[in-house]
Amino acid sequence: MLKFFVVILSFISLNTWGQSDFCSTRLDDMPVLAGGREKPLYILARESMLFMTGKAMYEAMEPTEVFCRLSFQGFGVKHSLSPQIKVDHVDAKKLLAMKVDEKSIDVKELINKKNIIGSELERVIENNSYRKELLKIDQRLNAYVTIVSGEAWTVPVITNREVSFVPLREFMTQERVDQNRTGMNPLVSMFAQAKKDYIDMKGENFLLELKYQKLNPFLWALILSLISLCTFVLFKSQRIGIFFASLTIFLQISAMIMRIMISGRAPVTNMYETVMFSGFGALILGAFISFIRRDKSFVLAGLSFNIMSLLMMKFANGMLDPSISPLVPVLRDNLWLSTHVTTVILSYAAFALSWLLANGALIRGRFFRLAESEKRYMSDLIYTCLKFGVVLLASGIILGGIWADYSWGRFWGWDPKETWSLIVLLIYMAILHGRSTSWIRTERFIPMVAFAFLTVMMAWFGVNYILASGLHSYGFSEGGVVFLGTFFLSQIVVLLICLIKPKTKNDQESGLAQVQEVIF
Amino acid sequence: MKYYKNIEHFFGSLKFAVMIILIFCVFLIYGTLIESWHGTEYANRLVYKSWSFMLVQFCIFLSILFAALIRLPPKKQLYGFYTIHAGLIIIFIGAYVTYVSGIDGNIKLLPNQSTQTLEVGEDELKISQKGEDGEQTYSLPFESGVVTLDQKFKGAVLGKYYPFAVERIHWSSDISSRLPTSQFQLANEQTKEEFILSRHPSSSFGQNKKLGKLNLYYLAQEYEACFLEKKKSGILVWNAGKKTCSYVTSAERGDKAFSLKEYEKEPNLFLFGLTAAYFDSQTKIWKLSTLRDPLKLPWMGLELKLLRHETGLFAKTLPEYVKPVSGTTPQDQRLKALEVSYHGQKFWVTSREPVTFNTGNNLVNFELGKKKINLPYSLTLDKFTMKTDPGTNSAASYESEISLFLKEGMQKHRIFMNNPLKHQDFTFYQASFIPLGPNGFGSILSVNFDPGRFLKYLGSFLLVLGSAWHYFLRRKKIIPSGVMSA
Repeated sequence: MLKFFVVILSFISLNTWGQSDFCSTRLDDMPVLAGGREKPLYILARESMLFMTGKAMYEAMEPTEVFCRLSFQGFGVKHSLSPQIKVDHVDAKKLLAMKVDEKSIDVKELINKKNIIGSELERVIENNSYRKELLKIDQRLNAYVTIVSGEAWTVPVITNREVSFVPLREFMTQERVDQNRTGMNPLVSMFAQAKKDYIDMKGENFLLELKYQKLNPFLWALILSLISLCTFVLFKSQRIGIFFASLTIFLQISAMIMRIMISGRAPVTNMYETVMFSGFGALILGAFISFIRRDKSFVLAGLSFNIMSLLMMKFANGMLDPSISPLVPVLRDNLWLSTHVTTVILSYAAFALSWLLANGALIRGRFFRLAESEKRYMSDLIYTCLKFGVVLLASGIILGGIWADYSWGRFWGWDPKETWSLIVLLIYMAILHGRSTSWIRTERFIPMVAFAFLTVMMAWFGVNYILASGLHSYGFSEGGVVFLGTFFLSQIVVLLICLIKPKTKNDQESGLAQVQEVIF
Repeated sequence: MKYYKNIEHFFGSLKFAVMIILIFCVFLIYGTLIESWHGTEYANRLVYKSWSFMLVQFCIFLSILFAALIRLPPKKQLYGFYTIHAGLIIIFIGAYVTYVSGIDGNIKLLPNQSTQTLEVGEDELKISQKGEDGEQTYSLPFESGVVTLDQKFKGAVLGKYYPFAVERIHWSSDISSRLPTSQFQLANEQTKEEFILSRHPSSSFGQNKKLGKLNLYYLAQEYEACFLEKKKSGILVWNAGKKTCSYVTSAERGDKAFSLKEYEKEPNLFLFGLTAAYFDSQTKIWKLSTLRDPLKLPWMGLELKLLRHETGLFAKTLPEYVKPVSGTTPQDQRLKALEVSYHGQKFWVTSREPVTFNTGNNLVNFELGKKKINLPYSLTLDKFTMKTDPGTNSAASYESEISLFLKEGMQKHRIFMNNPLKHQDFTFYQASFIPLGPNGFGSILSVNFDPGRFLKYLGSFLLVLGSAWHYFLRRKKIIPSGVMSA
């Protein structure tokens, strides 16, 4: 009670200068401990908002301001904020009496319906997408409750020359407020002092994450990649394109280094990071092969795949979680993480280059003119990508086997991720072997390579989103089923359109002549 | 000779290679789907360790072998190709050596308890007799579905074997018996539990049950009489012949006496099938109520409902085969069941608990479980430490400090993720842990003996070297347009 009185008093004096005085973006760089890591408050606030509502901002309010106001709700401070909790699944919407086109539910309404969710979780035993969504909604609600109870926001305190973090509720003591009464606003000086004490003990390294977030390097990389691709296509001189491609590479390397410094590990531990690395890998590989083969097709394909990856990272946050979290124990080995995972992702990047070149050849052949010699040349370009792909994938699989032997005591266990990576390798090897037989000539080789990339998507995304079992389900999250389904369908449609050519007048006449020959 | 050449060219042909690779892929895709639906053990039994899968792998081995043989004598531009195929052949040999003589199992270590027993993937039935040394074990087939064994083993006949089972309640008929069985439900806002109590000797359910602090007793209906006197309690005398219950004033020979006061201190519920009695500490009297309607109890907001009451039927749990569903029951808690006929009686032995059979002269123990292998030394878990990520309950790292008791003395070791213990060709890995509540944690170590390891590593090295050589280092031969080598 005394604490509440103290805080309300502080806020009354605060109101003299306006309630927004304390809860503002000035708190962005406040150090907090959350999710097992020390980070700036802005990151925690933003990730919490995204997790609960699907949006970082609340109307026009910045995440830190929202987070601060919600956190002080537990001290009796009133506010008009009413976050809308995200609900995706259609059955969950029915349960909560939502309309089908509604995407979220008011948190206060959700609190009243908490028991309904609890009962439904007991009733639904099967671990299907509905149950998973109910658990997710429950987690989002719990996140809200943790914030408003002052438990989510942890503040650094120094005890016996060591930094520890206490929840806001414990931080807000009478003693602390009294000590800071000399200033204009006791809250401002309390938190400023806490931040200063933390920085004196541990330095400012934690602020790198704030810089990384605010810089938004991958958005800039996306813009630069687009410019580079356009200039390659529009201008004869490749220098401008090479310049922008180099800038992109430089920016992405810098972003990865920042991410490595923040997380302390190679940036390939979840789906977001592997997508990021694959785009980058495709660009680097494409540039390298273009340089050797003296053909810009590879770098164009690399830029295109990089753009696709960056678009996914920007817009598919439901599927790809950009946050940096501590790793499960088995992944905490930088050597294996850096070698096995990067090698496999680079192989996927190489196959992606082949996939784009194959689709490019198919579309060109269908809607424009592609001579036989050009087809053979394209086929040779695709073959170059496949060489990189199979060597990298074979190496990656072997490295994975050695790591598994070292960590789990078995070289190969038919884990779905292992098995699917082997399926990818085998499918491409079947194509490469078949290419030397009459079964797979150039006409079939190109569409087969386009189709074979679906196995890569299955090994990369499908295992996590559709199968989701086994020892490899680290980076699992929902929402990928629609993406994969759309991807598979689109590729099949493209193949059908490109392979089923409408009959020309010549074809019809020759067909009729054959029929006449048979009858007469 | 011609016949051998035909076989050589058939198995060594590119078309056969393409075909067998695709067939193998179909098996693998099927295996991953099965694993996703039914879990790892089921997928191993149905697909990965099935004879048909082994046959396909053997065909691949033949394809790889003959593909190299028919391209002899060695040609310079195929050195990379030979290296790839040599690597694959060596990997296959290594995998075969592991399959035949490798050991892969788990050791469960509980704090300060010594063990030398390792559990492996296969199941076995163990029969032991009291007073006799040694036990007889029968290895059960590694199948996914129901297996009818029809095998005689040490005086028993083994019938159906369910590698995956659940126990379901069956109501069996016994018209001659009037002994009752009742099914109840006890629930409050937080919890709900159904249970069965029975007085029938063949029932799987007993007469007493403890649920948390609540004790339940299932008694003969005649004992209701002891609770009919609502206002008094004290020493009761039960006259079995007259079936009367009265407060002690005098007693006759053969009367049983018991004090109700002992049952007033804690939550105790007496059930008589259609009625129930409990002590109401508010009014200080014993209440006897009918269970026609749900009965509100004075403890924890509980409500008792009688779901079913039978006298000509009794309830028994019997195992039923069921395909496991991935993501439900944890693997190590899955039930297995085996039907055994012994001395004219048929019964089920499940992996949940052993069955002891009294032959009159002896006690025979039947135990169904994972096959066990004894190591020549024992291990003790001295300490298990789990570090969590700061401010969370997620495991950041966990390690076991163990003592190894060898002939030459005791050795202490630390085992944690990515840091296994290697001892005498066996390797011990930190696989998982068992939370034991206030007693801390138990540790699960995965134990492995892999005689094929060196071959698999050598083959892998040759495979990677060979593919780099074949695809990047060899000089390309000028070939007619339209045909490129694989």
